[in-house]
Amino acid sequence: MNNEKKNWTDEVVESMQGSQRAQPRADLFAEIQEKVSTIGARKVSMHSWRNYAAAAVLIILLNTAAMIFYTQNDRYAVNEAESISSHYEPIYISFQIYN
Amino acid sequence: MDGKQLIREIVKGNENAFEMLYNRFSTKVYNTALSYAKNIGDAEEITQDVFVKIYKGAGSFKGSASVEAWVYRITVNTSLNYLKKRNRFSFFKKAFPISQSVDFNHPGVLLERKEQAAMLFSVMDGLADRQKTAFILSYIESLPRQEVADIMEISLKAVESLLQRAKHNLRLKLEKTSPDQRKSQN
Repeated sequence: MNNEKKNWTDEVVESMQGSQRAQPRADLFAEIQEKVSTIGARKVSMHSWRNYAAAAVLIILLNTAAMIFYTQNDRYAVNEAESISSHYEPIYISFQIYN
Repeated sequence: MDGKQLIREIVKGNENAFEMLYNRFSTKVYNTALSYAKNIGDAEEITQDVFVKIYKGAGSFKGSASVEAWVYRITVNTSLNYLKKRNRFSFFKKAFPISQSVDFNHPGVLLERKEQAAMLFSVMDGLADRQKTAFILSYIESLPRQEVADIMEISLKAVESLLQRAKHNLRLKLEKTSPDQRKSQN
């Protein structure tokens, strides 16, 4: 490599030394703040949404379980009463064991 | 308030501390991002991502490192990831080219060095990520070698070695595009 070429490549490699710093747009921070606030909002809403969903599912499950339990109990009680009255003869107990 | 105090305040949700941290580091973050992306719009997007990451990750900051090294590390990683993402879509860019200037003119470069700086940015793309990072931090950001080592989490010797290889590779590329070479091609 001749000297002229070497000097040129050195100049290119070091061309950014002493350069001024570029400044970001003045409103860039406002955009960052907006992004940060939406992340926070999204986080909170997701968290709340999960809680609400869990609470709703729990309420639905409890109500369903309660309804099933009561209807089954009612049906059983009615059936039992019906079956007792229709299938069984009245029981007469005689205390006269010895004639 | 020093950097570590600012981070502690950000963790507590202090918005003013976040703004103070932004004012302290935004120029460094933006210029580093600009060196990687070579595009003002992309550098702004990287800067935004970096500060959002800082805000979200303030709680994970380890007090053993300096805040500046931590901020630079986030900037370097975000920039490299951004470039990878951008290059993933290079196929589409080739198929549907968008009008984009070939030479990047850094807004802060001295007028008499504009041509050389544009040349430097055009050949820097060919460097491996670690060589590029060592070069940007040392020769464009003008950081001391020890700080570069702290940011890259490598030894001082490793930084020197990366810089030597980076400069060697840049020279090889520049030789092919030197004014003499271009004259002989014409």
